[in-house]
Amino acid sequence: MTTTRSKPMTPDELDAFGTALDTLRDEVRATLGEADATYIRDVRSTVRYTEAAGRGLLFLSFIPPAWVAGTALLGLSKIIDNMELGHNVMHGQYDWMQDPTLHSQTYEWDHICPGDGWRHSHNLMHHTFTNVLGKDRDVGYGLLRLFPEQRWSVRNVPQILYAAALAVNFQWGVALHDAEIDRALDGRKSAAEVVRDVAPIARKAARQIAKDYVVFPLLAGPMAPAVLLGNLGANLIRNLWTFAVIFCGHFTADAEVFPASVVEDESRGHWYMRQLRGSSNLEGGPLFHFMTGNLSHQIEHHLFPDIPARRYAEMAPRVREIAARHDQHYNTGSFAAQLWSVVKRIVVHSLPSFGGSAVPAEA
Amino acid sequence: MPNPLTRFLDSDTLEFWLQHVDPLFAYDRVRARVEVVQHETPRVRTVVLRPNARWRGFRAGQHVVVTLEVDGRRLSRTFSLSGGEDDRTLRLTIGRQPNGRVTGALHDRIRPGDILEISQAHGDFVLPDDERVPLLLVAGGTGITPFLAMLRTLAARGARRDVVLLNWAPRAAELIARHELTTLPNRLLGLRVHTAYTREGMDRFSAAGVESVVPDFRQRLTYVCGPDALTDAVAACWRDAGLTERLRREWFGAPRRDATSDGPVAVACTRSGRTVTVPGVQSLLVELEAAGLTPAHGCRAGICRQCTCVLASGAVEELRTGGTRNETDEPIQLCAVRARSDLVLAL
Repeated sequence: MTTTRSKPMTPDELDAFGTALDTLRDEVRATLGEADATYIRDVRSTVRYTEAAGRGLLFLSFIPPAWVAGTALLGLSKIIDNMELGHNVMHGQYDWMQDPTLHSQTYEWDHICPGDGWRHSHNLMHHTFTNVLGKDRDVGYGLLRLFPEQRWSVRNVPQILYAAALAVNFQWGVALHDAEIDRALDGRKSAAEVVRDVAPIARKAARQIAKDYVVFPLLAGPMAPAVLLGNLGANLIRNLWTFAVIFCGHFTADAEVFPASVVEDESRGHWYMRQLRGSSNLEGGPLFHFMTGNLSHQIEHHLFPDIPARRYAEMAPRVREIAARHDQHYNTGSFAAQLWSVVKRIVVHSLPSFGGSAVPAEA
Repeated sequence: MPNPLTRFLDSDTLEFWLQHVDPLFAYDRVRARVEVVQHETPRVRTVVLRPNARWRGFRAGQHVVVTLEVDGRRLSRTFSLSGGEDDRTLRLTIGRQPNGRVTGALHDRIRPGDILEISQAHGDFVLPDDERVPLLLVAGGTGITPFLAMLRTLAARGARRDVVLLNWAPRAAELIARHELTTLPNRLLGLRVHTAYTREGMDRFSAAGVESVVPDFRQRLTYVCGPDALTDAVAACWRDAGLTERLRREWFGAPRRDATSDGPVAVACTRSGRTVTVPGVQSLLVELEAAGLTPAHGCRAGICRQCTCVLASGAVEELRTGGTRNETDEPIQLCAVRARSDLVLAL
């Protein structure tokens, strides 16, 4: 069973907990303004400049250091594009700016998963039903058994290898996860439904592949193989980094899961409580927080998904104080420690659990 | 203008790079450089603009939507163009509204060299093509701006036209284009200008006043633009005279957005073309669904933003905070607000 380091709260305590967090949210929201708008536009400019510099350097791949620097810069650009820019914009963190080019419902990113699919599987399913078994499909991505409450099967034995494969191909994992390919493999989804859901991913993937593996290599002429490899390397850097950050968000040692029954008539306080207990933070400096798209403040992100992520650092001490006041555990640790606890979780739960009640993964 | 580059580079990115070369560049939007800012009166300024090649021209009397970022938010306001149709530049004559965020920013912040985003010109508040139609133009305050465009256009073309301008300003020092209005009749034969100052004890608009100053007003095609008090009075007078068909009215200034209602309200949906009546008690999402619409939505709890929709006009109240949202073209979450006035939604 999931164990908890938090005290159970009565409905009244949950209401007080929710009100305290609502107050914090409203306080910060009232101060959003020019600095936040300038910031996100600077982030977008950084993505564009680093992408141009990275692709430009890759064209000079006959100088080996240029290939290394170009690949690194392009990988950096894709990481910032996906995390601090795309993920946060698509959450509606900057909708208040009323800038159509930074609007959550129309934003598109440098990623195989189309924005529309992401808005559904991530913003709706994952953020509303965070760590609710059978609802939040991000728990193990339909591939890994991470909690004793999930049903064990012999397929889980080599799951550390699945995790490694997922990390390397994480953007494909995210896109296909959105199309619920795992449910199709289990026969729980019809072929027609699969075609319907895969078609937009195929279109987006074709565009991404054409860009990174056809157009830019061809533009480089004799440098084509080097550019292709550099683009492959940049996508790999982005995949590994985002996988590591995201798996540390909800699957660390103290992260909790919840049965599907909790979301019926759920109070706002209870929703907040579930976000807090299901999420875990990573400690680090400003550059580290930026490179994770501030998902290092996963707790604050889950409590306040539509507040600009650059504000999470200033909100974190207040959240910690509110959690402490209500005897709730605030799950935080170094990147290395949290990542190690995730690896341990993947290994431990590849074997059947004893002494716990098994709950079907999808009721 | 299809461009093969946009298959791989979205138009925002294309604009980002091309604006490094030409700051006025835009793929399809009108951007305009501020050439001069003129002080008309203590609270009115004229911004002279040079638009990029996307500008398609305008007819005197039409307006544009100016979009400006204030405290990080893009806000839009509508202003009549006040320059002549044939001028090489555009003129926006802008009065500072009390507590006006956009007009305040336009006054305090805009300098020559700045770039403004404007829409194409819109509106049917324009003169008839038939030059024989005698005209009466009734203006109050900055409501004179569309008429300045008309008179400047006619004067520049050396036209001869039977036009009467009835113009009200609070006091002489607050009269827009004060000097030009005295010389325009020399350049536009057939123009008569009557100006009155309400704060200097002169008469406000009245039916009797019109009868004495413009006895043939029934024969004229009349245009009115100005504060609601003036346009309402003119509309009532023309209705009483059975002349509503002969009156053109321009809605002017900030819409009356404080008028919130506690009763049922009408919601006009611009994409589906449907208008429904909702009680304004529960969330808009719930009430629109009850009215038979099917807006896109997700969590129904204000989290996922799947139901975000642009509020073209009207006022809504956030259910959780009680705060009012009434900014033109503001995105709202249908599941998290209730209607507080008649609404127009991009739905």
